[in-house]
Amino acid sequence: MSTEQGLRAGLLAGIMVRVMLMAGTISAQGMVAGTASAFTTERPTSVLIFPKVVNTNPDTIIQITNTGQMMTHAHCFYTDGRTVGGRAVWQVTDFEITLTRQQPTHWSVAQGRAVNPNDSLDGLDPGLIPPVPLGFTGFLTCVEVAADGTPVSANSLKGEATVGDITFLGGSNAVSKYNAIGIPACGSPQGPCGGTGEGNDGDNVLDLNNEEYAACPGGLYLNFIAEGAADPAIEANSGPGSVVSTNLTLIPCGMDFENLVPETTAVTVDPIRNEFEERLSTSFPVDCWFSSSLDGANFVPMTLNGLGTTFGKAILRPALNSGRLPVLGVANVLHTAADTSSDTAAMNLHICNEQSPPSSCVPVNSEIRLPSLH
Amino acid sequence: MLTRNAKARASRSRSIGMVAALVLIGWSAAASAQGQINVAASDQTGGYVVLPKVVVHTTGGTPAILPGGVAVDTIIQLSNTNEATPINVDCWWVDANSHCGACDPSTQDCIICSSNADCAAFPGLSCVQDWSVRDFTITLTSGQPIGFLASQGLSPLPCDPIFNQNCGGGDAGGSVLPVQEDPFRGELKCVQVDVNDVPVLRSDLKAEATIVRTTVPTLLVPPAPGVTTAASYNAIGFGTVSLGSQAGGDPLCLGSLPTGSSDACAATYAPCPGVLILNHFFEGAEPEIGGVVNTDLTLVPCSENLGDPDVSENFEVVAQMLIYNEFEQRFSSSTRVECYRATTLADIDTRPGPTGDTSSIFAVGVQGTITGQTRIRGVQGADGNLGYGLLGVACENYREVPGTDILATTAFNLHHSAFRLQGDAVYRTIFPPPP
Repeated sequence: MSTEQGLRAGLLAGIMVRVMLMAGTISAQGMVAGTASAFTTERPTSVLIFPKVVNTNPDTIIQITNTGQMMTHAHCFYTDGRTVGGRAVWQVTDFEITLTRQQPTHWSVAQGRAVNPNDSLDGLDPGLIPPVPLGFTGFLTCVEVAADGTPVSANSLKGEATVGDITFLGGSNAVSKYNAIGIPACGSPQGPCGGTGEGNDGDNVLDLNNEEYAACPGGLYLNFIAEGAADPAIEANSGPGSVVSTNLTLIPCGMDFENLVPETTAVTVDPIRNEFEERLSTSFPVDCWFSSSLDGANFVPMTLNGLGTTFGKAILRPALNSGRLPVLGVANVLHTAADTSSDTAAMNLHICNEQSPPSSCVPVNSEIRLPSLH
Repeated sequence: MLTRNAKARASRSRSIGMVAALVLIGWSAAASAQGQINVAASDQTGGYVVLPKVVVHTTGGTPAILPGGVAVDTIIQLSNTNEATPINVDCWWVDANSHCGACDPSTQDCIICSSNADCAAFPGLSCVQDWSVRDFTITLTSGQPIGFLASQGLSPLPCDPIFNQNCGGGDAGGSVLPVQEDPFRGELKCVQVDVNDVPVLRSDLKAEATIVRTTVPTLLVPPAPGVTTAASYNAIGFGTVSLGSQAGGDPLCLGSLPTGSSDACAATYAPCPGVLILNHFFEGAEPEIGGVVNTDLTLVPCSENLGDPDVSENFEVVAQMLIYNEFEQRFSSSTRVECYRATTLADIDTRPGPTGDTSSIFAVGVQGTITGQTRIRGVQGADGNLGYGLLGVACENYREVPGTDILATTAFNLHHSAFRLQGDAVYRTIFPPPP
């Protein structure tokens, strides 16, 4: 066989693999609604985003599973969200993993995972996964690709992140777990994005437009306990002195790994409702990666004093009329008793699909730009 | 940036892909007909929401948790995401406790048990699995969030006129009743209704549950170290797809039951997931964050009879499981889910309790890898009135070493794949007798 024939055969095989992957997509995922953003935290997709990844003692364990019946690959990017001198570092470290059919895998971000069948991590090593440095705070993005690195629309990846640290009774113990945010590839008009869905053009720009991949959700719902409020379950059984604090981690719904340009956006939290239906609001910028408890100057309406009740609800949207990107995120809630024992509980945020006012959660087109392979 | 050749390759690839997609359209004709139907989702609002795991055992329970013990309660957060209109919500606590002798905790004092040994003091009585429901209806004003403890409920609601509070979106009303018993294990289900208790074509409900465990203080000086753990998960929401034709909105049809039968049920809500996918640590694994981890799995059937839960045997679903380790090796197991099933993974295929756990196919020593994937599917039964779908949630318990106190917990929603072709039905009044 000549070199040219070999290349053609390889190309044909690649196309067949992609067609078969697409078949899996349509048969397995075709029933998801297409009337709004199809971003999800509970369905296998082609892009996984872990908004909160830390190596700050606590460590983070990443779990990713191939839910498909064929081998698949993913191109992953750690993004360092720390700031230096007020500017986002936006340092990106990428790696590739390979998962056989239905294979689960995991790694600690502090340790990474070597390709070494003799190490303590049994199982098929998915590839060389580098560790992140101590002090890392940022996010992880994994894009499903073919063996040659071309993005594919197989929608076969799912993932979870476990953030925590276990020591001993009386020590510092806290673990929280959340599902990765998934961006489904549209595949076809019968796919997750509905009638506008198309196949994957295979280039390095993932269009989040309800044609190639799902468009970004226009808003997120957050049910929260007011910052500084007492935990009613602890108070009822363990006495007074408990406190609840919510950490909110957000990233813009769009990334440029090709040009290393940190995305920035502004978030409007409006309305914030307390239990008496009173309406409050706030806004703040999100520069690459945002993580803060709700006790900062931007979150006064979400504190116990500002909100006036223990429980609240908020909608997070891009700032009105700004043309800004929506955000994606996760909430991590710290519950502390009077004896200082504590634990964290993470919550995936609900997606707001109510497009009419006053919610006005209209999906927004965006993109994820991968480094070009050519 | 694409090169010219790459663009040509991409164009050719897209053409072939489109041809393949057209072929696939033929394969999935039935699917395309339902392409606009939502599916059950824990990240979307719903007209019908399910919290599969609610647990209570407090210092006020029977028996009470004593100083030095660990009490548990569940914080429920429920909100109306409709910013323009108040909504009415009809909810049910589903009590899955077992009792010494058949007993309805709504009408009499019952002895809660977990095995016949707990009933030794009551000659002639054995530990019987019971089911009971407690129904309450509330009104939430536009955009209103509320929160309450499962053990205490909430009465009156904020914005109830009794507060004399000027809430612009109208008056809240009703009371959240507490769970039937303390201790309690079971679930909470809520459906959005109109003033006549008929389901409405809206999907405005969202809910979360946080299970909090905390040590009851002692008078010891210095005090013994205590533990506090918290685990949160989202309610599974079912979006409405039609108003249906059933008078009074009964049953709630999660997807469509077969047409042509006497109990045909046209879809009024999104269908249940076809497969539940659980990524988990194997039992007894020592993850890199420290400690030893075990996973509790809670499964409930999609179909249920809230009008007469005593017929729960009609709702038994066999859950078939495929387990994959990190070597891609596949194992299988199964269990029965009757109304409510909460179990550690290791107890699915071994005797209840720690005996034999190290021999379970969910044990890390058996699998040889730290993590795995388990795919869970409800097996279709013979009764055409039911769909045999399943819902679930997972919780992880972390200890310093096996057999010691739980130091931290997590909860997370299971992933869903595809949907149930045959719908499920939630009967709010009377379940029709099997044909």
